[in-house]
Amino acid sequence: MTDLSKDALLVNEKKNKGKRPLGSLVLGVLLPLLLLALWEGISRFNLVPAYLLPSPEQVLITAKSYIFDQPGSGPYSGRFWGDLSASLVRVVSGFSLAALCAIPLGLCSGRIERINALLSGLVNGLRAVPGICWLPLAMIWFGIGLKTTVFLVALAAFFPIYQNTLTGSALVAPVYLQAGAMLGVSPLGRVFSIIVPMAMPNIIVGLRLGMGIAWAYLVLGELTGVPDGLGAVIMDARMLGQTDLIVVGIFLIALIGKLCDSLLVLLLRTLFKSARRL
Amino acid sequence: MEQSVQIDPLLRIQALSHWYRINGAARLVFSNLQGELRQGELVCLIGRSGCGKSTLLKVIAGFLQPSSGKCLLAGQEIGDAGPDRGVVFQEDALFPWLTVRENVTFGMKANTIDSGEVDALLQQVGLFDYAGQLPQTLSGGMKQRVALARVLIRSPRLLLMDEPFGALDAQTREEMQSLLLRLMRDRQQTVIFVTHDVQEALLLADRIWLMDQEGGGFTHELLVALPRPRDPSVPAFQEQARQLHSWLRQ
Ligand SMILES: Nc1ncnc2c1ncn2[C@@H]1O[C@H](COP(=O)(O)OP(=O)(O)OP(=O)(O)O)[C@@H](O)[C@H]1O
Ligand SMILES: [Mg+2]
Repeated sequence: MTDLSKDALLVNEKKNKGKRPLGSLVLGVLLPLLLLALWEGISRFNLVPAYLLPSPEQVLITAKSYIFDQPGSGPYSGRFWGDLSASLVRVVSGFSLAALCAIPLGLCSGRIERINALLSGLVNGLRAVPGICWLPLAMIWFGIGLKTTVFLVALAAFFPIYQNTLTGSALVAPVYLQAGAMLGVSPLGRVFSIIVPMAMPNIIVGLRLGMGIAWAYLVLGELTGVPDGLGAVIMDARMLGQTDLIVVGIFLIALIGKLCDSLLVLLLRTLFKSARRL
Repeated sequence: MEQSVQIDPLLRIQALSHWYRINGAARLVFSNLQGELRQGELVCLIGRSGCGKSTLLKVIAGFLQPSSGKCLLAGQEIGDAGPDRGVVFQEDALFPWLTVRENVTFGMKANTIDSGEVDALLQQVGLFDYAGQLPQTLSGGMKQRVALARVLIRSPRLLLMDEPFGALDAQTREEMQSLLLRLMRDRQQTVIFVTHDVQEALLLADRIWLMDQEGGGFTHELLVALPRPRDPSVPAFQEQARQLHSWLRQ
């Protein structure tokens, strides 16, 4: 009780920064394990018919075939790697496009009041439009497939990256820029050597949020009838009534989304010193 | 006449005035400041809170354009901020993602860094063993020593210090004061040191400038001719302290 409240109120400085104690790891898997047991129980006693909720065992078998079997030995056997690479290409290109636009624009808006005034109306207006609304228009513009999905992913990932970069760079205290000037760093040099590193904690938050949203919009883009991709598999499986494959798809997307998040953090930490102190 | 040409001042403040604009209204901070600083001199700037000490320092550093008048550094009008005028800020202004050593060499081109010189400087300020640590792991006094080292490595013509030891305890403060005096003596460094502590000013300064509250210029100048190291308990020291206190109360 007292330990919990101390942590919650942040009086104690974090002891194991970056390292999670074993106890919290156990806590972290507790709920998923309970849910798994519940799921197993439900299917074991046939409380819900299998076409609504397949058993964990059935899901495992389908997953194994989807991932590891020889392609061609079944309708979905071994298709995973092709779907994964198709989806990854879409997510990575959409996300990169978003980051390439959002970070420079966020930096400009955060530091230059006029640019902020110029952009904020447009950006806030566009942000108010739910991403799904763009789907019909995107399909007309870009057809079905790579371009539409990349467009949706980029559009959705743009806002959190832009907004967090803006906040982070606006919060850089003048004293750091004065210090940079006094130490002989040029005005443009200060953007890269001071503003970006100082704003890095916010930029990382923006990028991670953007990455999460990118996966959500990937699935949306792939539900429109593209032939490959993890979202497409889920949609196909629905039409064929293969609930087990839907569940496999959901698990894989969750797993790969989490993996992408970790890789993103790892990449940033490798590339930027300022990302390492978090 | 002849002599004044020979010892040209390093810094000359000429009819310097500054006012801030707040909602269109001008608010005068100081006006018509005049002063000269010779090479190797340590001048303390003393005055009540809000009288404009930091503002003057920002003008000399080049962070702020004066409203009128000018400052000449070695005869040249000062321009934008640069490494010829090193600043030690009152608050912590180290870059938190860089180690002590990286903070000291921040912005220097890799081929211009003399790592032996960096080592020697870190030794001098007593931080050699902490060179690889991040600022968040240092105490307040250590941070200010890093801040001092990162300007000294660039051999500035003028060192500007804005209440650099204000946040330190008495013991650490004394250590920092003797460190500063030692470095100044070794390097013939010219310094403007802002403080509101009379004793600190008398311990450090060759001359003391008193700044007025009400938008005026320097109201008094005090030459501190006491021998170093200075002892606050001697009557001459206390006499000057009394003098300063009475001026400050006016
Ligand atoms: N950016 C600013 N805009 C408007 N007014 C300012 C600004 N900076 C300072 N001032 C005002 O100018 C006056 C002088 O401020 P300054 O910071 O130079 O005082 P100071 O002598 O350094 O005080 P202290 O000893 O408390 O640091 C103050 O009255 C302050 O309110
Ligand atoms: Mg001040």
